[in-house]
Amino acid sequence: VSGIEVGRPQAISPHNQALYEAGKGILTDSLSVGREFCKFMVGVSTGAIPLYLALLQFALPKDYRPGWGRGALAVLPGALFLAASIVFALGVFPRTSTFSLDVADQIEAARASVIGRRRKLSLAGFALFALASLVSIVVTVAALDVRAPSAPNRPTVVKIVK
Amino acid sequence: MDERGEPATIPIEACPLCGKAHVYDVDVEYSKMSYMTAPPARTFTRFFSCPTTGQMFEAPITVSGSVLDLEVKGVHAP
Repeated sequence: VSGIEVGRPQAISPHNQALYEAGKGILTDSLSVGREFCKFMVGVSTGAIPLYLALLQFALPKDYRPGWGRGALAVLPGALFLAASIVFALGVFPRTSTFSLDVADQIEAARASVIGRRRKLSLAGFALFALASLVSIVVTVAALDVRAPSAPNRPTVVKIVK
Repeated sequence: MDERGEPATIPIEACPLCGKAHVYDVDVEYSKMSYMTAPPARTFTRFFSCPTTGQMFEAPITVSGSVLDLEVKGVHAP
């Protein structure tokens, strides 16, 4: 047997009023939080590319030219940072949706759709960013072990004195 | 997920803000689990909006059985 009983109604207490306002804030801010996060991470991801390249240049010996395999490995973190910034940029990309302000369910569905899509993109972008950070640390530390290419042997000049 | 509950009404005999009676239309969400014994009754505070003043008031709601939650969908006079 299921039932619902209602107790004595009363004016809202100050504590519950504060909780209600907090809940309203969470609900109204839920769209902007995801958008601001994606916007912030676009800047962080793109800014990480020159930072990584500067660290790599610092770690590698001067005039070092990597082969194809090592070169691809050295470029990989930069490419991952770039991919992360593209995914975050998709999170702030404008979307069109149609709903009526008179129909609460339509507003809620549109809001849930935007939040859900942005959450997926935020997670994917952050996973790429974390992977790029990890790979860039590994590559930079490995670059510290790379020795400078040895200078080509100069021909010995022999003077023949008759 | 667009799962609707079963409609019900919650009568408020005397609103603490305007003193009038209101009837709130709610959707009741039931648990889909089957219980060996009836789950204990739960009491929680629910906010209601007074249609006369537009302000909020609160009332304790006690649900028993397989009732999980209820969502206010509208309000009208009795």
